[in-house]
Amino acid sequence: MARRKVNSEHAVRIVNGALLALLCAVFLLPFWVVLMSSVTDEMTFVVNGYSIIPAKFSLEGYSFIIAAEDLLLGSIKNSVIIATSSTVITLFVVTLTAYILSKKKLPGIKLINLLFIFTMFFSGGTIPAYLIIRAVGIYDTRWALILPAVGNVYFIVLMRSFFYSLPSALEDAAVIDGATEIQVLTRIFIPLSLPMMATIGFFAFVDRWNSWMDALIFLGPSSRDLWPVQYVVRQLLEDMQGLLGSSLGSLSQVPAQTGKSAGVMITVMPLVIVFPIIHRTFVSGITMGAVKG
Amino acid sequence: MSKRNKKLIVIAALAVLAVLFSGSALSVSLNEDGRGTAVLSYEKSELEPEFSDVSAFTAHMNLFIDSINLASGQKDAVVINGIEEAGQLYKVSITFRRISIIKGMGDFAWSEFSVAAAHESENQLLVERLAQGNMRLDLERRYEGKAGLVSIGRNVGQKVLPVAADKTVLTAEEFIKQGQQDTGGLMYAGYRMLDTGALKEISISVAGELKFYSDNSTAAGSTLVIRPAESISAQIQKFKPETDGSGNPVLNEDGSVRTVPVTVDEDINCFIGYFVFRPTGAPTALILIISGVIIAGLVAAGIFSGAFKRFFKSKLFAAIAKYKVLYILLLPGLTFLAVFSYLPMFGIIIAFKDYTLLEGFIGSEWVGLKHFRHILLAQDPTIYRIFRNTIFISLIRIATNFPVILLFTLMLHTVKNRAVKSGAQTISYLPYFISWVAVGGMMFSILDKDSGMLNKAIEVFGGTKINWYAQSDAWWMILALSSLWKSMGWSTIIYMSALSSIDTELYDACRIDGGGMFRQAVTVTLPGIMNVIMLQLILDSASIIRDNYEQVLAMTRSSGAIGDTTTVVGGIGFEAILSGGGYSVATALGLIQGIVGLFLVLMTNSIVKKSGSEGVL
Repeated sequence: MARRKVNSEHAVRIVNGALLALLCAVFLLPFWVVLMSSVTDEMTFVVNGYSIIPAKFSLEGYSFIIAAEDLLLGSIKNSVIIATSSTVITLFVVTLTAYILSKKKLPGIKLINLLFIFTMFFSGGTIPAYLIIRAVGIYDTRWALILPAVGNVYFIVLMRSFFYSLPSALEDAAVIDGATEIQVLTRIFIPLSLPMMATIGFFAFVDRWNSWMDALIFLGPSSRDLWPVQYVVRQLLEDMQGLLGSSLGSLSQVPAQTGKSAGVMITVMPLVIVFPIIHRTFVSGITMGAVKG
Repeated sequence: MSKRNKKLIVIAALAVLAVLFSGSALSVSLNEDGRGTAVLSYEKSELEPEFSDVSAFTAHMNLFIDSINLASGQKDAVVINGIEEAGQLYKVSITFRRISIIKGMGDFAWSEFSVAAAHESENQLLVERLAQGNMRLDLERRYEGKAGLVSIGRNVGQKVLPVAADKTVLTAEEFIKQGQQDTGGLMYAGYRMLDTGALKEISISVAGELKFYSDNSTAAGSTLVIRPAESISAQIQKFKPETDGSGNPVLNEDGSVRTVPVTVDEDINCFIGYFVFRPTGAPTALILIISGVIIAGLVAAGIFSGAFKRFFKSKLFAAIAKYKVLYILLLPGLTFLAVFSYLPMFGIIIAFKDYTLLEGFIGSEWVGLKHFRHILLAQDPTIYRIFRNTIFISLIRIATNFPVILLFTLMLHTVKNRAVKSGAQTISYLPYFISWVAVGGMMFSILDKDSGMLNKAIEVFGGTKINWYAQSDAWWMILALSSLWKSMGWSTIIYMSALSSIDTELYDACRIDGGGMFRQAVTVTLPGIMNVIMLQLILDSASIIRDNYEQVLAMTRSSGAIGDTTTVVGGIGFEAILSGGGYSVATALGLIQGIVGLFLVLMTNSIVKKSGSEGVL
């Protein structure tokens, strides 16, 4: 009886492992296929289409897409500027706000908390947001892609949950020793919440790096010098001719298809490389916030 | 109504217009919001004999106004209030709504002056063109093609310059500059009218004080502009019966006389100009005054009743004062919240207006629930389709993703080997962190008709290729599955962390009782993460009415063939912004989506709380 149970359990584990391996292949396949197409010779690609192993290897797609009008390199620079500055401001605003929102003793703080939470469930919508961007005068500037994201309420809630979880004795002891509220934040809370801040910083950075819809409506149609990288790659995928125009020459002479794949890989690569190294930190950070929240 | 009938009505209307306007004068009064009344006076002696009877005249007048409304596409653009006989005159009083174009009557524009001036290039061009006496483009645009009857084929030569109230003539540049500097709520009114009859003058009285008007008009007092007609020679397209060689009329198949268009040169009267006025008793000023009075009253009441004194002495104030630094430090967060989350909520007001970029946020006309009535009651197939798509895409996504994610969590949980487990997790998290643009590119490698992996696989198994980017009925599933691919791994995190907090002794106890893996899952694992499952259900059910337009836009590659199933509510706002029109309808759609979504959150939250689990709010 017991033996049969152990056997069936063993069988379940084997099937489970096999299914997991299959799923992992499904997760990786699109990455792999696009990576391979980006290093395929254009003519080979035109004949064979996407394949698991390229028949003829070439890096022309990359050299073409990087050389084309400096558009991609410029946009990578833009995205780095946008994501970095947005992350820095986000961390400042989120930590400070979450710290104060976590102070249950403050009169009226419950109502203020509710004001923040409410925006997670209801917003004015795309057009009012667009009109506000125009009204505050940051339309068609980098700030339009940076500022709207920095007060992210989800991050604030995450951080606040973390602060809730810190033992109140820590703060009480510091206050008895004569520390001000600000010193409690800078000397005790911030050092303790560095992993959490790293998590939020990573998320904020990835969020900005991946964004392109805001560039679509918050930037003017001709502000090529402000375009973030995802926006450029999107234009590349949708309308390469329109994007590169005259400098493109004839589409049949350039590695257009492999170039598109190269564009996609360039936006994805930094993450694929960095992610496995750092993900352990923020997964623990995110679960810390989520469970308590 | 057939095209032919419409054409006939427009022709009839213009014929009536020509007759009716003989020997008449038009006096208009205009409010600061662009609504107004007008009185048209006709001298009986100059009308055709058949109109000596007031009922015949009224019937023709009604037909005329109806045709104007028909052509303008607004059934209450112009309304006749009454027709009366006064000696040798017929007086027709009408009221009109603020609409930009009353077709068949002319072209009108109202807006805040500063908003009008903000559209500098447009207006400068217009003002300069008027100042040079070149009106050709303006009049051609309105009357050629649309009504197809009047086109002015040459420059008119009339110069129209803005004149300030002190009679100084301004250049186009100065005029625009004034508008940009003004913050005092000046109103801009522009008009371009053609009259094929003999309309002698228009007098426009405003509910306010004139600041500028065009030099072709006379300011009669500080609230009345009189604009005399100017005769110009125009090419008018008319329809005359077609005749064969012997002079007999040619008949259509249905027996009616066939007409042919002919272009004739004719003298017509034109009225072109603009003026700027400062409205008296503008509602904004009134609101400011009223709210000022109320605040002052409250402050006074507070002082006299001692409420302030009590407040400043209260414990609450002491507590607030004690932590004032903390409240001040909250300002950055509150500022961002106010500007980027709450200010846009006031922007929802444009859902109750006919918002145009030219008229601006405050200047645009209030239309009440017009857009909501249209969305909810008009049974517009386009609107039905976008809501259907939004809801079905969400439902299919939830129905496929929710159980699979739960199952995947249990699969990961079953793995005992730490390295294998963490490897599988890392790989499954990856897609969550790449952009939808990249996902769109990757899915193309799967779905493309000729080069994609899916069709290659189909061919290997002997099927025929499918053009997925034209296969509209497959897209609800494609969107659901690509969502699953992107978020499946990451979504397990919240379950996994809940699982890790389950007491392992419970599993041991279950095993001792003879429970196998399945029973352990049902009796220990599932109850252990029930809270999280409920939480996830709340968030999911609230998202039924929401859409992920970012995903749709990135994945559909602008393929029109699948628009039927992939157009969603969120897309309408983006389209409105990119096309520069339709803002109000899109905002109303977004508001309906937002309210239903909020309602769903609150509802599911209370259900979950009643069932004994913890809610989110």
